[in-house]
Amino acid sequence: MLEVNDLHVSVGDREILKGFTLKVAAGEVAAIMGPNGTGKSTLSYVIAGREGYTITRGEILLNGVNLLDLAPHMRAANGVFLAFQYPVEIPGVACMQFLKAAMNAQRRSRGDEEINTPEFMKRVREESEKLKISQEMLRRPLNSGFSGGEKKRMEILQMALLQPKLSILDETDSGLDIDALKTVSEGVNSLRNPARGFLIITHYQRLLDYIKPDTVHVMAQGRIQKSGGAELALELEKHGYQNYVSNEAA
Amino acid sequence: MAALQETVTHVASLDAKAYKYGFTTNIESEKAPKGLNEDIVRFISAKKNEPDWLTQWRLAAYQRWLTMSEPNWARVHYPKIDYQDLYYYSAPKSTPGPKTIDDVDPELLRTYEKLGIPLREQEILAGVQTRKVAVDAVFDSVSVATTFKEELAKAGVIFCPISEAVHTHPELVQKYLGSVVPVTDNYFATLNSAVFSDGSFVYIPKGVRCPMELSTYFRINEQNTGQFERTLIIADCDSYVSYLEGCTAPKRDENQLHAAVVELVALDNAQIKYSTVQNWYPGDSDGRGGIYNFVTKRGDCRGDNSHISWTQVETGSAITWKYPSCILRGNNSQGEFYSIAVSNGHQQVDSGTKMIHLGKNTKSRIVSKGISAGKSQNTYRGLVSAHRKAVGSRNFTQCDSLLIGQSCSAHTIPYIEAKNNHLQFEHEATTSKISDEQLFYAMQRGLSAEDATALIVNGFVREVLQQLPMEFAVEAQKLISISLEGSVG
Amino acid sequence: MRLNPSENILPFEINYAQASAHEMSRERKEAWARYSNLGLPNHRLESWRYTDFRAACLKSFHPADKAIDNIELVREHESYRLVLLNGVLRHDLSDINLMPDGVNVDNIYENQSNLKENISFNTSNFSNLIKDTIVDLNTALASDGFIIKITEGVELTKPIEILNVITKQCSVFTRIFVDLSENSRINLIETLKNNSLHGAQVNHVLYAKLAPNSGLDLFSYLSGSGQSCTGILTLLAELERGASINSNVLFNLNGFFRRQVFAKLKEEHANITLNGVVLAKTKDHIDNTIAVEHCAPNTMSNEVFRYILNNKSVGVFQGKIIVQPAAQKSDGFMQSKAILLSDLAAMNSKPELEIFADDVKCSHGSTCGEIDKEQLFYLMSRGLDEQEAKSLLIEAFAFEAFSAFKDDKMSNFTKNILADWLFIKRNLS
Repeated sequence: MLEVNDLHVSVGDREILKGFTLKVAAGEVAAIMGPNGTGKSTLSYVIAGREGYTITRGEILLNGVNLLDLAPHMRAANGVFLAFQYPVEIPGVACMQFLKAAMNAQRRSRGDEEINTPEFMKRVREESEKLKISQEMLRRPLNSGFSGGEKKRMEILQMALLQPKLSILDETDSGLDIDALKTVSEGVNSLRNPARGFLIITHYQRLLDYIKPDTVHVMAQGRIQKSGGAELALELEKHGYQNYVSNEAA
Repeated sequence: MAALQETVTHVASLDAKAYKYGFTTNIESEKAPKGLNEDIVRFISAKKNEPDWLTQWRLAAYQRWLTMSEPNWARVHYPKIDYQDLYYYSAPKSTPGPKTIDDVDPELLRTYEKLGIPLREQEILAGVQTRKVAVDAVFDSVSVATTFKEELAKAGVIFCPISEAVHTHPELVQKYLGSVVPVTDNYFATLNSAVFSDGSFVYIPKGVRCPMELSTYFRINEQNTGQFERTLIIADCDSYVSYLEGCTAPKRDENQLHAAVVELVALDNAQIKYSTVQNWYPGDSDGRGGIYNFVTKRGDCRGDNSHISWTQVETGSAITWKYPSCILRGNNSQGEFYSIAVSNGHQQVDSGTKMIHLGKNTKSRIVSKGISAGKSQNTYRGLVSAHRKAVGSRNFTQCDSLLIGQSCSAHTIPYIEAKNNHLQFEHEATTSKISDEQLFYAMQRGLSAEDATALIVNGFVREVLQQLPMEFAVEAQKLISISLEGSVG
Repeated sequence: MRLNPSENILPFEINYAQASAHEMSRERKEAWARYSNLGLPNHRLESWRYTDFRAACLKSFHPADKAIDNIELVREHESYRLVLLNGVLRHDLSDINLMPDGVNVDNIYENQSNLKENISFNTSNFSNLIKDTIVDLNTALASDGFIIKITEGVELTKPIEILNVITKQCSVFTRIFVDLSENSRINLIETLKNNSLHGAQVNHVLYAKLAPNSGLDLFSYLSGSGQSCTGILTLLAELERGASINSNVLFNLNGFFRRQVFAKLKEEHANITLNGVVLAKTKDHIDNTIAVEHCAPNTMSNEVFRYILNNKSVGVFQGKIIVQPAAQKSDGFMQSKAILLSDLAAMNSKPELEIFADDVKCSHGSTCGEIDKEQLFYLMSRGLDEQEAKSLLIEAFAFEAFSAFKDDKMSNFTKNILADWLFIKRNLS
């Protein structure tokens, strides 16, 4: 489903991704782990289409569509969802209003009919209950004054409602206590299905105790250094990233 | 971000073609000759069969006006106005004075229909409109129709053209006219005092909660016509009224002058909510034409515990010069000012408020949201002052500006004057653009750059929109979208 | 506006008459001509609406006579000190010959009996910000001053101190030009001490020109045991690429005073911090007026002011941040807060933003009022008496504006002054 081929990305004069290649199959949960500053967040932003990055080489295909040709909202309409490491506050725009605007925008882009209000309300209610998001919170402006945990739960709620094909979770575990981590993980697990791919970007093994990955990739210095199964994450937990970083340096 | 840039370019290229109220109406009108002199003032007064005191009042204003000079402190620039090249009186000829809605020229009614004004009670009663709103429609200089008069009369509410009130309730008019905005107040107010042609008059008797929202729609139709309406609202003790004002004008290449005066008086425990959606023609993309909106609006919280609240959504006019203010005279009185000012193209806005704390324990709140796009200039100018005796006064001011594009500007000029120590004044102001992060976040969720911008702008002004009555809020939201067309879907 | 002939004669006419008995520079004559055309600024000028300087100077004082007064000055700071007594350099009290390498101090009027020369300030760069004649008046009448030149790369650890002392009724016109070369950095203390018991008038201008990556830490202290000092302290600053100014001002004098700052952030990454505390009592009128112009991208400005107003004092804060179209990605922050301790004190503030670029972050905040009653109650419930609690709150309030001090000595110095002020206030009330 997702194919990233020989991706080279720079910010200013500095090359961050240096020939990054990765495949994620439908139904697969792939984890990308690596030390800070190796370009993990850059990868997620580039897939989602954020400005400020220069792509000098490579391609990103989602089910055969080259995402690099599309504006961010068209990538979203094609099924890309990024759960932000730092969800953005939008003052004055209530969560409900935002959710509906986003759902309908994607539907319109795909040529589908807009969702009707009762149906929308019902879906929001169902999903928010699972994530322990209160109605009061939904009336508040998007992410404004939310705690770290609330922001992350709101990201997962959006993911559940938008039903993306590819979900990228960028350091979703950061800033979460153990209960919030469980809630968020359950939310993600319930969305796993054979048609959907996940890219989980994390620094720690912790999140992977709750969301079991099918594949684990170690990323350092702008590309994948090693790939393996879930056991690779445990090995990393034991030995750290030292080997991969020094390999590269040597 | 490229998408933002696109939006910005689109906004910059925006033309006032989008102005959907730019049609004219073909109605024969009766005009006074061009220019201004004592005879014209007498002519206007005579046209309305005014009592002598009012004629004299106008003449005194005219004499005073001759000695004054146009204010130049505002951050607006325009070629010198030739006051002798304007018509000061224009009335639709067909109806000397409508008695009922059926007397109104059908062409005029169609105009109002195009404007979407619920002039016809039938429509409202038939449920086309969900809420009852009594409307006084002012076309060029004269009030053409007032709806729901009977029902209002049952409650004792007087809602009629001010020219009519002069005859039917002279004691009220004489007592309150010019008592909030004195004849000598400022250049444009003095001019208005001399030549005002019509406007609305409202009196809410003691203890009455006005049973419906009152509304005036102003429209300038004639060419080279100044519109000088005068509104006077008196809320007697323990009463309440919510009043809405809307304005439009046809597209014209020349600039048109609009110099209105609005006076509000709130007696003990009375509350007045005054909302404006101002959508005068803003001029074309080269800055040609458009209304000069030089308006004096002031509310006097004369009684204890009185409360006056101004809400304005300003999207139109080539130039806006307007400072709806509150004089907080009564003890425990409250003043509020909620404002959204959108400027695009070559529009110039210099608007804000004055909160003058005179009584004890008076409170005021100012929330101003300015949005500048295109090549426009948007200035907030405000005064908060507390008299030595105004102990216990409180003010909170929040003034935010949003800039869209690189050719516009936003200015904030607050004056804060505290003359006693038992008070708390707080003022905050920010200037920002829509952040790339916000835009990217919304786009990642599937919104196009335009929709994302609209959504964020909407959030930015939300606090003010919430102050408007429901149907007005919807209209205002649409207007803001149209005014920022290109960035808004 | 031209002075009406029937009004008083032009203030400081006598000073000019005395000066022009000697040969004068063209600059002085032209400056005087501009001044005599417009007169002193008054409340009808927008930027003087709260501080009517013309009304405050109805009677102008003469320059001090040249008699050598015996005076003893305590060294308050470990510094290279330059002393101006009643407007004239006192060699015997100054370290003018003890300056370290890389610091060049010229006293323009040394050994000159006339006013032929003048420190040339090119104030025309500021013509879009300055709309009055205060600096012109200073140009015309400056009786003494210095040019301080710092060589490239020189960083001084010991501050240079300019001590302006007034001991008798007179008018004082002084000016300093600080020229910082690339990568140089100094600490400058500017002290005004008014000990005249019969009033004084001061017009002092400091012009700081900062070459790329240079830095100026400035502490201006206005004090003295004298009475009713009427005056203006002007700071003109031009900052090139990466240059920075960190300025702190502390007002603790009796009188009618304005400090005005006109700063231009001319090139990228220039930044300025302007902080200040006003301690005002009796009938003091203290005004801080600031205009910072961001001319280039990525420039920063920061202003934090605190006013503590007692008795019948009046505080004025006027701050203006201007962001020119070229100055994208600039940050401007401005905050003024006032505590009014008496029924009769008053505060006027006018924090302005003038923004012509869209990608900027600018904000200002302004509050005024009495001491927070809840905080006061909280402290008293913990056992502090009312005066103690108030002092503590005022101290904390003022310190917010002192937080930018880089030099601990200066920071402690200001804290002690504040403590003294509060102590005196407490014992009087």
